[in-house]
Amino acid sequence: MNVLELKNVTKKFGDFIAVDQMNLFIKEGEIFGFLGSNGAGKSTTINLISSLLRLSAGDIYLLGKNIAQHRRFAKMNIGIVPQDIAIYEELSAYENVRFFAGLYGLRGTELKKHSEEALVFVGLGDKMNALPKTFSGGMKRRLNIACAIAHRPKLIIMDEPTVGIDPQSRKYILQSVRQLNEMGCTIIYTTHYMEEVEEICSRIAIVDHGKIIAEGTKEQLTNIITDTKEVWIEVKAIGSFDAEVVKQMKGVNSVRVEEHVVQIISQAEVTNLHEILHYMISQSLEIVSLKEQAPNLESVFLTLTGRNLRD
Amino acid sequence: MNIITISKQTMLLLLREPKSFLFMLAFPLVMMLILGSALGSAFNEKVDIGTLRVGYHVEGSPQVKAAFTQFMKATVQDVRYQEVTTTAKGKNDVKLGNRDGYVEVNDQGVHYYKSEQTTIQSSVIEGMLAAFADRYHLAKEIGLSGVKDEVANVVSEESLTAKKAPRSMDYYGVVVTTMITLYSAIGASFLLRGERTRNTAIRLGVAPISKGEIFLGKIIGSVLMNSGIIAVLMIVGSLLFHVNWGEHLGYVILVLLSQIVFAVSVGVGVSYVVATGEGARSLLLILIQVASFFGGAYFKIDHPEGFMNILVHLSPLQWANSAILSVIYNDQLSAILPVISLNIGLAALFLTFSAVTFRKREGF
Ligand SMILES: Nc1ncnc2c1ncn2[C@@H]1O[C@H](COP(=O)(O)OP(=O)(O)OP(=O)(O)O)[C@@H](O)[C@H]1O
Ligand SMILES: [Mg+2]
Repeated sequence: MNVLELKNVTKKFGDFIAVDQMNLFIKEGEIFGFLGSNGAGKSTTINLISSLLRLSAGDIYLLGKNIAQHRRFAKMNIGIVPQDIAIYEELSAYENVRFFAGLYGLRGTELKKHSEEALVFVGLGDKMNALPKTFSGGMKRRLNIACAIAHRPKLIIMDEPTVGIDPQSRKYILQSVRQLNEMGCTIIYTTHYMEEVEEICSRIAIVDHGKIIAEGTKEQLTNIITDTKEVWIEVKAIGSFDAEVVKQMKGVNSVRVEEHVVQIISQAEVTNLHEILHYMISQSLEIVSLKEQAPNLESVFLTLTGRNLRD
Repeated sequence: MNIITISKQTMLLLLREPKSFLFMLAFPLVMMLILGSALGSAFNEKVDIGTLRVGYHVEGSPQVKAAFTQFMKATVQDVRYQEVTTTAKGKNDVKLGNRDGYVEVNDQGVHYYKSEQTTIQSSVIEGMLAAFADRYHLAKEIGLSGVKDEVANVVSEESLTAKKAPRSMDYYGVVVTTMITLYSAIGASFLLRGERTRNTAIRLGVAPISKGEIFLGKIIGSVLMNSGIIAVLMIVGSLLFHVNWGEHLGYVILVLLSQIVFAVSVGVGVSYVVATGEGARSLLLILIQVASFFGGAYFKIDHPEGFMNILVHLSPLQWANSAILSVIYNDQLSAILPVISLNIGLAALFLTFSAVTFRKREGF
């Protein structure tokens, strides 16, 4: 069954089209990755699904019901982890979770139990009565998640839940996402970190300019790019290397420099390696290693959008 | 039910912000202490502030002259009075630093011209004069058997209180309390904006509750919280300073409650007009201080004339104060009706405007 279905969903802010006739379905039990660079329209789409914004056109169905007509039903079954941490600093972790869960009709012992369980689940069981002021970034992110899950929603939407936190908290959060999924929750996961998507998502959509430009499993997506190849050239020092020069060479789609590694994507049928190497040697770059790279999500993204996922 | 959850939450948030909470309690109590007690005690116990030199000139009815003579007698230990023949000379002496102040008394009232250098002394005299003017005027207003009789008693604390006129502590106890109700507006301007700046507006927005519930819950929470503060203030004021709230406490409370509803509504309304939180706060602070000044929270303005008269009657504090003082000292219970109607009417306007804006806005 489809937990969520978007049909021609459009959102305009004045003349600007933030989400452009988006079609999408998400099946029960999926961890669905939502990839897109800054301003692609991810958060806007999430705000539409959660009824925070009004649709300009199109329809959204949650568990088969149109959310415009069944707003309360939809809201009850969705949990949102906002991109920006949304908690009350002056209330304890427990008071935060309890307040938000209370808005979903939970009362009394049930409210208490659900709130406590949510906090234990994100690993804040021993910090229930502490104020978030005293929390690290990672702990605040985890509280941000606890506030979204205490009412036990069927669909949990996480908008970049791991921004700016330590590796340990990140690991914890990814593990929690998997655990929630095993407990029966369907999850939409938005991120700028490709490795997170590769690690946990069963299906992925790439969003650009408010449109979904590709969608499928990791394998399906990487198979899209049979027409390109990627080489990684490691040099001792990057020195006077100019990516723009290489970009002008025949067949080259994109060039990316990450520390000492130059990553070049070019059309599969064009042979240009000798030209590239010639340029690098002429710039007195000492080449350490050279390898052909199998296409990964990062290169798919780069090929499709012409941009890096992270600026 | 959701409304209750939201208003409980609103009160809890305010309670956890002790700074503004304490301000709304400590500030008025200190103000009452300074304005009411220090000035009032100038009539009873002696406050040692050194001898002040004050020039004076009295005109008008024999009653006024007699009253002022009494006043001078009562304060002669602190003040050396010297009669001055012309206004110009009186003012000039102060300018040159020969005197700390110059008083002119006539049937219209008391005018005080003070030196800029000796501010502490000056304000003490000012306060004593304000209390004098208060008493003289209020005694006349409530129509005691005869002005003459009253004037003879002008410095006698007990006989006046017995005849139901406010001591200066009673006056300031009331007006400072009404003034503090206006400060509710500042907290109120952050009620909904605060949710936006914390990002929690998103969570409220995605929760299965209506905007109306959020709006009402917030307003109710804020009104209750501020009512609590005012109640504490009234109790502490009564215990510490024996502020007289009269025999019709219920009526006084109704006026104060309507004043809080009014202030909260203005605060919420302003937050939807002014773009930034700081901007809204500054605008409200200015409005409150102007209203306090013309409403007589700092010193009583008797018989204002012309433009001043208009300003005084535009102050929401003035409406509330005169109604409350009429209830306490005149048993004039009907005085509360116009004030309450005005407060609630204006509140309804501001709230309707805010609610419509809030509703129309996408998100929060
Ligand atoms: N309320 C709004 N009014 C006008 N424009 C908006 C509004 N909200 C978002 N936008 C615009 O819509 C576009 C999509 O924004 P959105 O926040 O959905 O992007 P995103 O994919 O979540 O980006 P990021 O990765 O930076 O969070 C952006 O260009 C943004 O400026
Ligand atoms: Mg976003």
